[in-house]
Amino acid sequence: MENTQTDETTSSSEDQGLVYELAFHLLPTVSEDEGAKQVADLKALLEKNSATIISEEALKPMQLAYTMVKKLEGKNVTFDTSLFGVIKFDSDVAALDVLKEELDLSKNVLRFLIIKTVREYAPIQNRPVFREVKPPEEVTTLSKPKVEEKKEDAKPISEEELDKTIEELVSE
Amino acid sequence: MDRHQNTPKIQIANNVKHIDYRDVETLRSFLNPHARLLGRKRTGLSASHQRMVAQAVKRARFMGFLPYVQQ
Repeated sequence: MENTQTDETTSSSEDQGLVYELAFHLLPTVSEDEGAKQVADLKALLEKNSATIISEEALKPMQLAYTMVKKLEGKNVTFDTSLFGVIKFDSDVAALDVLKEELDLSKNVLRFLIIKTVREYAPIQNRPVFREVKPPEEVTTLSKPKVEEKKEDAKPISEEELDKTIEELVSE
Repeated sequence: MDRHQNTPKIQIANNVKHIDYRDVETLRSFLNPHARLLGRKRTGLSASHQRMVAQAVKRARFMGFLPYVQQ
């Protein structure tokens, strides 16, 4: 175990990647000032644990895809909206435990997610598109001459011939 | 004859190394109308891209960007 821990610390000290992203939802009841203070506290906590902040996205109100539940003062309270914020930082693994504990205990944080990510995310330029299915080739050119042939073969039948054929059918 | 031969496929460039869970518009193209993930037969993605998409969709669901179920 000790070896793996040292490996991780050395790789982060060489600045080779362990970039993390903290995304969080604050309660919609939190005011702008309180929200800004919460974010500043989180950043201070990270910097205290020898993490360097790479980028940060301002808090923005968000409509959630489903209702989330947070236990406040012994009661389950549901929320449909939130204030969403993101902080991207470069850090040791040890700092993550401290950060997680802080967020778990926080009364203003509805939900959070800490993930490993890339330093600079390039958005997908060409959005995934359903490949076009080619329409089947035209068949009308083949069917035309057949119709003409049928017309040539059809001959008018006289009344006598008609009578004969009917009699034959009846006799059978 | 393979009955999936003519099914539409979705394409992602080979050089894409990371798919962001906040890119909801992109992720939606890998879900069916009930918000369930499409399989590889339907998406036509490489195995690694399919795993990236699956991971991103699960994160997006947890963070309320996408629903778990849609009626």
